[in-house]
Amino acid sequence: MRWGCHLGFVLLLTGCASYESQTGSFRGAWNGGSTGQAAQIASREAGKHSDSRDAVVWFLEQGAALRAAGQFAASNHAFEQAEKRIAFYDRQAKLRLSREATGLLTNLAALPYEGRGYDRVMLNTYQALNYLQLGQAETALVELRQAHAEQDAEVVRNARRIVAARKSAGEFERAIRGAKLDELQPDIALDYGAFVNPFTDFLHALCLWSLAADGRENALVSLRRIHSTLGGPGFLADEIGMVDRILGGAKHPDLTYVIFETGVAPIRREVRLDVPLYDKNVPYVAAAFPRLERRGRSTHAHVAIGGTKREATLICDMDVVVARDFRTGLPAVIFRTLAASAAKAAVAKKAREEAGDLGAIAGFLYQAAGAQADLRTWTTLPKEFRVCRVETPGDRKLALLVGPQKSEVTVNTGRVNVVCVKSFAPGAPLKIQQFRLK
Amino acid sequence: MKPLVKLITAAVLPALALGCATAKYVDHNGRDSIVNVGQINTQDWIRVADELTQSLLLSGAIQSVAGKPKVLMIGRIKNNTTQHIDTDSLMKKIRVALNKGGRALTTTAVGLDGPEDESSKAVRELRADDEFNQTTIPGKGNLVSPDYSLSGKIIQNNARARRGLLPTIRQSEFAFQLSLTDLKTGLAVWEEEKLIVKQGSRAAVGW
Repeated sequence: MRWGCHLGFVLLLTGCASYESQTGSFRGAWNGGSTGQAAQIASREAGKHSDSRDAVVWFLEQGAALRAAGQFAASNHAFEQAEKRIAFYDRQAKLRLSREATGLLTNLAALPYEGRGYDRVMLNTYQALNYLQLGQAETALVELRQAHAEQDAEVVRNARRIVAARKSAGEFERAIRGAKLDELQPDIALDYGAFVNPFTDFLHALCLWSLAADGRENALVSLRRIHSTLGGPGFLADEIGMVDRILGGAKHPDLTYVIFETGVAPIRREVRLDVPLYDKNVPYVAAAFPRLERRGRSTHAHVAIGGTKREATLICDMDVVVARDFRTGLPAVIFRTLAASAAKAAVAKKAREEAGDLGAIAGFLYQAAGAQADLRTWTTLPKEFRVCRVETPGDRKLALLVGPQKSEVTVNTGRVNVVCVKSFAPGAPLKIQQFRLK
Repeated sequence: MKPLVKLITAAVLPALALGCATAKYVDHNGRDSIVNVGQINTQDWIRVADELTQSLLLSGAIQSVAGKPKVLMIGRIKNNTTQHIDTDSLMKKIRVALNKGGRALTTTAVGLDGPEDESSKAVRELRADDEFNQTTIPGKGNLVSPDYSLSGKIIQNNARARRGLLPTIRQSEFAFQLSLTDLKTGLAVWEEEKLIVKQGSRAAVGW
């Protein structure tokens, strides 16, 4: 009977809907470009989950949805909530015994979502864009400096994760080979190396040379790094030359930067596999693993002035950023999932031995409910960031094209302007926002 | 059951191995300061600023005339390293030393991309404002044009080598180059380069 009570308690912890199913209606509204509705759903869910293990991911979704809906101050408030939560988790010990024990007895989805490395960088990036939109340039620069520091910290965290994964993978090498777990690895054609997000660095560079009172030379450092990481695109070579001349005292014409955020970032789906453990008491375990799934296709974007069309350059492929993080974290996820599955199998076996058929049923339910992969991920991130720079035309009118979709905008007056264009699923309307940098 | 116990222990044990470090104050130029191979640390800025200031003062390039200090403007300090740095970490120390020595004062009213401090300009914009006592507003022709401009470049070169079975050694070389230009003639009246070379396999504590 005691076993039944214990298992019942643990079942309460494990038997929750996956994040993928929780976000179904929210993602539907978002993909259709209904940003107002998406913001409403996200705000409701963030309120409901504000004290739960999913608080961070819901605050991130809420912040992104409110930003797209043009509610910049509310968006920053949501991002601040996420940031506070992340800081709270960071203040705790790096690895908590109770946390690991919970993970072993339930599943990784039962642990708090503490924010992935790229989440933290994008959180500061979106906050900076919101502050720029609100005309608070100094605060935007603070956010961009934080994003820069987060990128550096993530490079170190990544290196540590790789070393730890290499150590732990040895223990399960046979199991991993036997179950073909290598197939969970996402296919990445590109790799940004030490970079977490080149778009963040691009935005930082743009703000440094056009806004900052000091440290303006650092804009060139960032631009040179992105230029080399992205394989030397002509747009960035041109940008480096132009910024170098401006920092040397040269005048420049009125400029407009158009930032295209297109598509949606990958999500995580669950894969259930039987993994042989080669243990006489627990010969194999059924375990659930996350698999990354890309959504939609890459979309080209252009800016047209009169009869001239200029293509926007791909600055950041978020599929690559997310996949790199996933790939780095996967060995640890496999290791911890196998350890948790083995622990649960052992508990179920003990229940069967001590409580007969009733124990066997309870044990079966416990194992089935506990085998749940962690599918939480920031779903409102875009698939790609593309940037195009044009000299602002005399009539200040630009035509913006994303795939077959077209929209027009009249740019504000100013020496340096930024137009942000957000596209969703094909057919959904483009969202256009703009602000003046200089 | 042994492999299972081993497996659970491996997952949980690292939590017990983690310690925590207490925050403390350290001497910014002392042995407890952190040294990073690929970065310019506080002690590097202090050392380079001291050496460059000494070189500039000993060169005699800036001489006050009848006790009246010369006026210096800060030109472009190019950052050709791979990291974001605040060049004021270097320039401010040199400015402070020149100011204290009575050799030169730095103008904040002139800069390549506008003044470092907009206040000199802002206060003059009050000339048409009746709300202000006009006798307290600086008159025309009071701002002082600089005699010299201080400009430079910071360069980083990285190298790595492996010796036998030893871990890979990384080396970073930072070159700090400064020029003082006489703005009347356009001639560089003083130039200097100082090097900081750091080597190691990872970050360490100590000078």
